[in-house]
Amino acid sequence: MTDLRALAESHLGITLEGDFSKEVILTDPDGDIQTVRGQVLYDRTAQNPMTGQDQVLNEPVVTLRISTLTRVPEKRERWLIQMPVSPVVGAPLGDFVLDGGRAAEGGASIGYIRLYPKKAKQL
Amino acid sequence: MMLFRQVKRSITDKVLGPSEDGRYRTIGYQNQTEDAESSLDNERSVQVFWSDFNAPKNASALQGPFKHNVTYNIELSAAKATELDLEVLNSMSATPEDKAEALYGFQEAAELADESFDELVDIIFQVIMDARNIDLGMPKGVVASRWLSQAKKDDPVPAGEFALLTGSMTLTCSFSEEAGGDPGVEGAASINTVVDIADDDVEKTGVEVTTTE
Repeated sequence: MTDLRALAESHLGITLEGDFSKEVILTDPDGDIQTVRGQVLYDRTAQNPMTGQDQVLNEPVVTLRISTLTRVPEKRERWLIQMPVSPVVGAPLGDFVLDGGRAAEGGASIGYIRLYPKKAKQL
Repeated sequence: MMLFRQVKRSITDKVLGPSEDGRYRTIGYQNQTEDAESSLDNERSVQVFWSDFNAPKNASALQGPFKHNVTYNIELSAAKATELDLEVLNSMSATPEDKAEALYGFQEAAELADESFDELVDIIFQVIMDARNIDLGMPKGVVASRWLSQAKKDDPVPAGEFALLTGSMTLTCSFSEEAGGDPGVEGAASINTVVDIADDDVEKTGVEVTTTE
């Protein structure tokens, strides 16, 4: 019998790490660096909780394949995420952080994690 | 122009605007939308608009002047990015321990935005309630009962690449409005009634009448 979960996870190599993917450099709370490829979306639609109106948010969403990570971000951990600031080819890398303000989401049963990085500035 | 419009303009141009000193940005109308980046750091925005016009009917209501109470909303917004030592994190010579320390020491955007918003409320309250601004920039005796009756902070916006905080302050005051009647709009300046007849070089048959209002 085909293991559909394993099949779906193997497809992440195409859907998340394929031709549309971007290079993402992760620095974990111990200062160790890992470079992976993943899906980076720069804006998304959401519903304004105050008015109910649809709105477009400038909020990058990074989706990574868990099996390619040497360490997976946990709740409240502080990570540095460096990735292109726009989808344009040759765009410079920007500095973002996971600051614990918003929990990561994911399809743990499928094998991906979705991160919501925030912009970072020099202290 | 009625006083409620003049006072709004005066709050923007003569009270809040001159006190900015690079600490915030005053907008004299109700903006439709504004993204977090436009309120980042000291670009904190302050929007002023009237929201309530309350003129109870009384003995002088037929011809005026009639006293009324006006409520102005002062909408505030502040946004911040997370701050950390990026020089260390981007340094080729920094050790993992150095980078871990830099990550441990960062200041969360939500905390910075909260502090920034509180500071903005502090500034605006002090500017509006300053004894020198008791007339809200209008000639003495026009505005009465200036009072900041409420300050409110909304919940943090749980989305976007910056931490954004919004809120509002309620400013009430009263003044006497005149009902002088609608002056209408200006008519055309002149009416040209020249009759243009072909081959009549000097327009001998024409009549020109010019009127000015």
